[in-house]
Amino acid sequence: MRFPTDLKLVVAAAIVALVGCTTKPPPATEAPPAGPPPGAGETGPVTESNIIPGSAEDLRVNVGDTVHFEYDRYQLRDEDRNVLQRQAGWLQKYPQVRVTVEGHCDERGTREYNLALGARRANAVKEYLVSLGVSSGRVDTISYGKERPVCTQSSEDCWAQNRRGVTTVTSGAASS
Amino acid sequence: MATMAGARRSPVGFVGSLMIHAGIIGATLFTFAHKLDVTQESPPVVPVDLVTIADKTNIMAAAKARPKPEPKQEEPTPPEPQKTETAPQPEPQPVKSEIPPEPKPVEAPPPPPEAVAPEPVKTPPPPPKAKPKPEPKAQAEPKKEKFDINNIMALLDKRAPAESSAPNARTAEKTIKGFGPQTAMTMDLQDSLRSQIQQCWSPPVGAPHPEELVVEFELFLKPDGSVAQPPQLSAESQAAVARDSFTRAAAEAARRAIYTCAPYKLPADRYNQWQDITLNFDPRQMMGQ
Amino acid sequence: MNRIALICAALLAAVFAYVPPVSAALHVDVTQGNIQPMPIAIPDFIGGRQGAQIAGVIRADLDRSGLFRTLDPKSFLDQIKDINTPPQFANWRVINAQGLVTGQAVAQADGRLRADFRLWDVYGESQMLGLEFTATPENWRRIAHMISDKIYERITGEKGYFDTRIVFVSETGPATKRVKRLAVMDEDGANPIFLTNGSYLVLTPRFNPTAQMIAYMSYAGGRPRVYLFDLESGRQEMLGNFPNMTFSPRFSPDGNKVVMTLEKGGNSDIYVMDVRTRGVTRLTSDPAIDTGGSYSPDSSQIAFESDRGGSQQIYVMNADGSNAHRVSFGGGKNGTPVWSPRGDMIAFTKQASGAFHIGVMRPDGSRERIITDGWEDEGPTWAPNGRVLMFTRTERGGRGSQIWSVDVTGRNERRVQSPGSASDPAWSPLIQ
Repeated sequence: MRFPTDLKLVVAAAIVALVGCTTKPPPATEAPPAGPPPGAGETGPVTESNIIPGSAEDLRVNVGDTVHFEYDRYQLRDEDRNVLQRQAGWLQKYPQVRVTVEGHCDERGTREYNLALGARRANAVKEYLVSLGVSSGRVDTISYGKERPVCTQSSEDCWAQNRRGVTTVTSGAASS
Repeated sequence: MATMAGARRSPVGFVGSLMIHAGIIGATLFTFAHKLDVTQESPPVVPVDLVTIADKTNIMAAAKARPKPEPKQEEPTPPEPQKTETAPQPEPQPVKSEIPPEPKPVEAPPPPPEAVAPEPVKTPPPPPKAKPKPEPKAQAEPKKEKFDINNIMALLDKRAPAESSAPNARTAEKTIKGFGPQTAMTMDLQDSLRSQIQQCWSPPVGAPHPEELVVEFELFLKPDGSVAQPPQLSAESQAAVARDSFTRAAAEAARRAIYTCAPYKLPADRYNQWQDITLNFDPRQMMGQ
Repeated sequence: MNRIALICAALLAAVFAYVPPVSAALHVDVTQGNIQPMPIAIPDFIGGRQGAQIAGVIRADLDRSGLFRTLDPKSFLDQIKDINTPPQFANWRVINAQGLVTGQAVAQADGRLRADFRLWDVYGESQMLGLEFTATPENWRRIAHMISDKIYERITGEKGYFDTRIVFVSETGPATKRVKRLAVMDEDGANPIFLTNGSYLVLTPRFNPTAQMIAYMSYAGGRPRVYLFDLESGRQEMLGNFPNMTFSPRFSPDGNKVVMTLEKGGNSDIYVMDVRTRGVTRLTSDPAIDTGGSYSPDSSQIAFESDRGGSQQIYVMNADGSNAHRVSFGGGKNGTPVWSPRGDMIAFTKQASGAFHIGVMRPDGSRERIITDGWEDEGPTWAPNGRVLMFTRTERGGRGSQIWSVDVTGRNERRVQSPGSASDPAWSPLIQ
């Protein structure tokens, strides 16, 4: 893993360019920081201009990286299919990008069951992306069970946010 | 343990084959020698069994300095309950003499290597149950089996258990005239004694097989309600106690209850009715059985 | 008619069977007790600071069990000067001690520590137990725990569990980025040692039957897999090489196998891996979630959880995967079955009416009892004697988890000491 110096410079430049908006670039395999609440602003057009097309940030902010699930379910909701369709389109536009779909659960399940449930959710997202033409080799899955909530209160609202599938860029994204 | 014992027997071969265990062997020999020492040194103090703890505990912290390659368990001496029992009994007597713990003749002689409580209760050998009590026995049985229609005594007795199982039995308000000599005339005594002793009885309710916790004692009281002599386990219970450590624990818990609740408050004018008592301790109801 | 005749016969029989009215024993059935910890006096052992420390650990052990109540040394009338002289029992009866432990700690010429103790029956005025232990001085706590085990065993009839360890997950940081480290500590919370550095998540550690090896799940390298941690060498290795997530490991009673869950295409099924040959056998093949395998102590069966019937429930199958059948019918969702080392019960997590509880039931599902009442209690683990359980208790609102223990009867619930927040405890067998 050795990058040419000029590439590093590009990266640095990109980071500087990003400073204005949402601070840190998301770590590759980490869940992104608590994003916009479900349903709202998944395609926030506000900061579009600052975001490099094809970047992880582009996916997260302009395409929408998160879908949500009902309690103890892993079936996709209709409104979330739009998000995934955009993801599929984006992935076809940037064919070098590989992604990992994270499956997450709320705290209302035992630890191991939630690992299994998270795997189901991640897989449900993956299967839909694949059905839309994304090569299955480009999509990995990982389950975090209830280990990585984005919202920590014990409330229905929080649980709804935590039951999610998040598509994160593993490699191949522009400038990150 | 087995390998360790083997190691002690043929240390040379062991060392030869497994360098890592050299330390273990050394320590083993050392401790073994010492063990002999101890036994010789302190002749009067038989009662202790020797148990050596492995020098090392198996933890190796990734983040921590590695503990020296300590021997794992150099001195086997398995802490087996059976063995540990052999020694204890004779001890108390020899040393002191000023302690007057009642006639406790059993303790002194060569102890039977038994699993039985070395308590005031006679160890198993003396089963002096000379008492002619086939009779109360017969009653005791059916009381437990509520549906034993074949047993005539059971029919007779049915009333008794119904009454007696009232959880908070204080003295019965009234006694019902019954047929059996013991039911009517002594039911109030039974209730009274039961309610007194229940306060002190804390049986080992976590045991896996509740039926193993049923024990029967015979108890002799003095006219003032105090314990006249160490309560005796029934022959059946004695056998069970020898077999099962849970039963032993149950018997000891029952005996502690008998002692801690004494003296018992019972009508002095009816001493002849309560001087000799058989107590059947049965925690099954408490355990939801 | 017949009945009357029978009663008459009975009466007659009774009259004849009945012999002397005066000398017959009064028979009393005692069926209700008063569950109380046994009062026991444990004066500091002879032997200065070391003696006092050892007695202190023993007192704490026995108190923690809930089955004993150690008496305040300030109430003692006698001082133990020589453990080879029988105590003045009357002076201990006065303070209501039912048991008495006397002991001494001696530094031997070879530098090792020797501790001997005697357990006395105060009412019976006899010695119940006398043992001597030697060890290196650093192991003084283990000596104390072993003495506690012996006392516990002698009094209760079952093995103790004080000379044991807990492997667990130590937690720090906010819930959204919780740092989890593998750690072990003594059963009383002493001697905590961290085994991983927290740079990756670790979950659900479990001891093998010699307490030398830990099977756990790790996210090292971003790949959630089952690992083995060898405590002696400090070596970690991935157990098997699978393309997808592996989790929920648990050793077989002989330690030669690990039952675990493999995920593939979103579906989780239970497999068993031979630790030596690394051969893998599939036990379940169901589109449902099958996980949480736990062997019966005789290795003949495996309890597990599955949502094949529509909701998470506990099932039992033969160790070869045959004859899987549901056993939990007590309502709610039920998971994380753990077979008691005694074999008589399965502990589990019940999720019902918005909260998680620890429960126990017979392996056939009968006699279900819920023994804790928290907001989120989950993941029970048995003490090696099958008498006590530990579990993870999580407070509402992401405030972290703690390890708690409870007697199998539901009594004596208490928090287990741990460094900071902690979860996923697993009890070791008795240390060899």
